[in-house]
Amino acid sequence: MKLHHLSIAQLRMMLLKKQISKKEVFKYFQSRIQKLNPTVNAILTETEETETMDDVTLPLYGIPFSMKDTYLTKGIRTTAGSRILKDYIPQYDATVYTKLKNSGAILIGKSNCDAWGHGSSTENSDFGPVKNPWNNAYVAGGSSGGSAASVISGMSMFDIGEDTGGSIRLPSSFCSTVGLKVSYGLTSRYGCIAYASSLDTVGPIGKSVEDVAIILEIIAGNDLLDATSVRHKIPKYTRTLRDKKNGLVIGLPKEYFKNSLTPSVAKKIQETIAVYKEMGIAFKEVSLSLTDYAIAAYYLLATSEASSNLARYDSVRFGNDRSVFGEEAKRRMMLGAFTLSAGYYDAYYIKATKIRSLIKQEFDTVFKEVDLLLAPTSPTPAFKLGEKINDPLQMYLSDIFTIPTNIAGIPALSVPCGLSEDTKLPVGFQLLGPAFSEELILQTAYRYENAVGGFLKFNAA
Amino acid sequence: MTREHKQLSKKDIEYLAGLVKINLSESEISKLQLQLNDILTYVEKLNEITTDTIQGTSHTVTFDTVLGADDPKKAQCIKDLKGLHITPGKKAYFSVSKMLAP
Amino acid sequence: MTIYTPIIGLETHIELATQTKMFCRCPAEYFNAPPNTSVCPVCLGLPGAMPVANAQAIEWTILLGLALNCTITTRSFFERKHYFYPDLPKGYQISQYQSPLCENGSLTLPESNVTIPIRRIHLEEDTGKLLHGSSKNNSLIDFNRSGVPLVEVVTEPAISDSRIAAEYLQTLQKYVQYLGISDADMEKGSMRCEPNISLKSPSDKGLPQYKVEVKNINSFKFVRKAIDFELKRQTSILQKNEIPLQETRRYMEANGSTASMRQKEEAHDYRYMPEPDIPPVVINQDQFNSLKKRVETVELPNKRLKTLVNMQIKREDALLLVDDKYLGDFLLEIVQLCTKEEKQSGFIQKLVNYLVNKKISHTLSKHEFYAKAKTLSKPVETDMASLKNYIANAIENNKVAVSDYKLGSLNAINAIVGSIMKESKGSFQAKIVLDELKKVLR
Repeated sequence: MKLHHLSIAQLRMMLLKKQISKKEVFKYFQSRIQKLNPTVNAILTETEETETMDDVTLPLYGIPFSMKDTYLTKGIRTTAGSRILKDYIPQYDATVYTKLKNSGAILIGKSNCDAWGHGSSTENSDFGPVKNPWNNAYVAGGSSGGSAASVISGMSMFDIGEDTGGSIRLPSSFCSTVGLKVSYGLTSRYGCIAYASSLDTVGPIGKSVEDVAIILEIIAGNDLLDATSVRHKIPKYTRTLRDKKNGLVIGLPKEYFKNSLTPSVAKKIQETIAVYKEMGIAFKEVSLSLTDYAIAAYYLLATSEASSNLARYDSVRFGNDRSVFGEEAKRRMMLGAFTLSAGYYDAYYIKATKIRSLIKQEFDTVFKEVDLLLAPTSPTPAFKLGEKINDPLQMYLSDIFTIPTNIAGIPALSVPCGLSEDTKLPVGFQLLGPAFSEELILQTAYRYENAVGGFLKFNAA
Repeated sequence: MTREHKQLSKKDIEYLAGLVKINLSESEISKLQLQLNDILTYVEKLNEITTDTIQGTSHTVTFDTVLGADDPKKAQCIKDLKGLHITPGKKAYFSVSKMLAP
Repeated sequence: MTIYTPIIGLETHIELATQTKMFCRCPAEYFNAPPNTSVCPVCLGLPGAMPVANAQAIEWTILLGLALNCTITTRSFFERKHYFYPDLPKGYQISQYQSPLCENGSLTLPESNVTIPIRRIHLEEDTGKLLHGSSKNNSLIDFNRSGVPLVEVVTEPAISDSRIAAEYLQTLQKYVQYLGISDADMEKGSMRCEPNISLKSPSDKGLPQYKVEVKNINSFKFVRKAIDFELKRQTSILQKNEIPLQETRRYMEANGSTASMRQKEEAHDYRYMPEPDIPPVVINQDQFNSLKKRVETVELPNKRLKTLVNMQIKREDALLLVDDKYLGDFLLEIVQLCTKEEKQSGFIQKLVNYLVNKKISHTLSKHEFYAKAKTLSKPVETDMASLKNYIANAIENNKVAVSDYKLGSLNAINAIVGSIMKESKGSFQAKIVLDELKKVLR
């Protein structure tokens, strides 16, 4: 039986009915890793079966999951994809890990990623790139490439990624997983190795909308250790998942459908729109005129914060000195240092924060007209390994459709919508909503998933 | 408000590398100079937008004043520093090669 | 000869006496703790750790600001100040630059009556401690102090000499102690002072083009010495028509001099950036009002001086008691036990005398002290019959002195009193003996 094709609910039911034991499930996914990981390179560290709570009523009892290697796991090596931390064994657990453990889930591995979350293809990992499970010559997207690849290829039931500029959604669209970038602050960042603190978000990657809703319900909410985490009550996402909002209006931001969008992706997006129209959902063209400026603002803000967040890595506590930083980290630290340096701060850093204000305002205005926005997650399907690695600026532009949401702090869910006609690689669309509208986003994605009869299953291997 | 189109010199690159405490080889300096100047040219487009009267957003959170009570019972002290580079022996110190005291 | 005007500003760091650290809840008391035991992911700068600011520290900083007549910033935020040093685990210090909690205050000094303008008061975190002891090649680091709340009080460069600088520091220390927010002990390092010193030439239009910062000063005496040394050193450079280097110098306790530490060419580009992990701190009107009320109820040094003087305590004693808050507090507690009559009959000054002269130990409880003071101050009842006996004997034994007294020698009668005191082993008060003796000899 292909356990990795089951949903979380289905696997949980089997465990509840004792049709399979926790141990057997863990072994099964371990053997998936042993079989597939040597090619895909999605998992950096495999974990032994750990002591978990033996309470079958727990919502994730016995469910094996992977986590981006940017989350601290006490006693289990955590590298952030960088050689600086290649031997680092953490002293504490990230809040998200604690929450999942307390829900009965079992960590099976730590997922490969671009070092420090810096990248769009996972080629910046110091431990080798992740290969797209659908075609190993292509990238899995980044920076949470290992996360999406491990979930789609069935090495884990779900994964916790981290999205600063598209790092959950881009790999989700390249690998055909459902990936949620939450509203800034919905989930605790405590214990998540920071890339750019004002943009970082902690979110789930799963095979279905329902799986993502289940995980979100567990990981969302206030954390006293993260002063930027939400203070309001979290909705029961799974309970309202099947609700249908009346009179839903979805906006199509015209800037996302310009010539930078490749025809194969455009076609898939149009098919998606058609599916929604069939349900009677209204569409409206809207404009987000600042979309083109988001990347420039992002690379000033994110690198400023990255140069600051990476300042702590020294040989005093972690053993490896700063010369071990990879090329991308050096590039971003230097750009960030420049942005914040005496004499340039106003013209670069402050300017970028002002653009951020304007981008936020523009989203606010648009969300007065429409409930949600629908857009491609990426202008292209997965690109070839090595294709953009020597041109950082081109690589940065891969995130053109995902970055504005991080700048504005709003949620976005990347949903698979089939394979591109030419390369036969997955394509994803994203649903964007106002801050803390995850409930409506999940409901709307769930309607699509049902209408198309579920998402593609990865059948190779 | 306009400003000159900033391009980084080799000396600038060395200065920035010093700020973030990394050593660069000659070839890295040249490469980074090109790449960073490329990026700086790209971000010039932000100047197309007038922002004189706009208040910047540094914090994305929508709420403020989140403070912790002065309560040592909430401490998260680490009992075992294993996994970090500490000196052997009863007293756990970190160590750094000797330098002049400030 | 050219006259140069000293331009002195003071930056004072004070460790707040909160129970926990500034951005985590590790115990803040690091004195004598085994190394690296009061540390957590936050103050060790481990990956993924996030700061949560201490509410008490913010409140206390505002209290200090209000006591020093500052404007309180309604919406302030923390920033990261970046520099690399082994005792700074994150590679940045969380501090405040653009929006200090308090600004534009003043402090009037009690003795000189000079008012020192305060530029700003902000909150930041302390660093770990570097120990340069035993090992030849390595320094050791203890992060117990890392993250302890530090308040920084910065004056305008408006101090004219070392005496005023020292008085300012002493007064500031008193304010902090009276507010109960720190022990502000310079020797322990919970109060540290860094003067910025330069000399203005008559030709300088604004401030001088250089300034020298002096570190490593751990007593009021050394503050004066360091400033005086610097003023002399800089004068001699200026007199040679040169300009002193802009630099940081270290005070050398051994010979009262200063020595160069680093020059400003190597000065850091701190790259301040708003701390994204801590939402802005907003002080609303209600909080402001309640803090204002609290400051008004605290008896600050100037107010206590008034209180003491109003109790008819001698000004010099009152100043002494203001200086030692502990003694002052103790006295006021005892005064509360006193009766109305005692308060009006000069008994309070007697209490002060006993306290200041250490005639009664201040380690006693207030009740014990009060009781003992009452006994001591009560006039000893004189056994007149016995006194008369002593007098009769003395007259008998000091005939010469008696006749000298009758001839007008005052020394003679004092000698007789002395002999009676000696014989009686001091059982009588000298004044009573004298009066009685005079009566008998009249």
